[in-house]
Amino acid sequence: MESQIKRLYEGMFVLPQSFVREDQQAAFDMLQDLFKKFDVEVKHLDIWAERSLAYEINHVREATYILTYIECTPEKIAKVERAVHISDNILRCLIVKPEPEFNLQEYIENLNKEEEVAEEETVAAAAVPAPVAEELASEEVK
Amino acid sequence: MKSGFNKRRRRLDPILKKKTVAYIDYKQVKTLGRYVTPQGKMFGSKRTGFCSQNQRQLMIAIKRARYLGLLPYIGTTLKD
Repeated sequence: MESQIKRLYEGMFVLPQSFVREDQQAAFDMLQDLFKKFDVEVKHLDIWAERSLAYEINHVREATYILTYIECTPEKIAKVERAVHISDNILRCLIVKPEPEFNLQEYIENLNKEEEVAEEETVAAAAVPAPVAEELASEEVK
Repeated sequence: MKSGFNKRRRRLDPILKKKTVAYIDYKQVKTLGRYVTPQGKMFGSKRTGFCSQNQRQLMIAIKRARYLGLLPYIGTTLKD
């Protein structure tokens, strides 16, 4: 008997960096389609990091990590994982329960705040002209 | 007379300075990197100073990070 209780899962997908950089939306759509196929509800989907891999996977050295939060029944996880193994463009996938006391709403809010701060910093950095060499020299004397 | 059993002291984890940590996640790659040798082997609880629950979490987190290519199975020192 299939369990009908839906619960939240955290999924990390490792994709080749070249593939994601070529067309980010296409990569996101590919994952969205995968989830849609198995009737999995996507709560959050975003790039977590772009890093070089600790070891080569399928002759790929640079990878993009896509973090997702999904809600579905436990049986669906195995189906998604199987589809990922068959897929050519996904190097690795790890679907686990999020840590206890994890709050998705808070996580998304924090992410938005960080983005706002980063944007403000970039705007502020652009507005303030770089210090002239003379100014720096006078500061050193002080 | 002092008992010899008290001699074995638990060294506290130098990084976290706590005996118990709320949760060790596989995404904290920098932190996890401090608990493996340059060869890629993870430290034992005697070295980390973690309680058994945290040590287990660390083990799971390191294994997950290795699977995703965040940490190496074999460190650079042994690869060449």
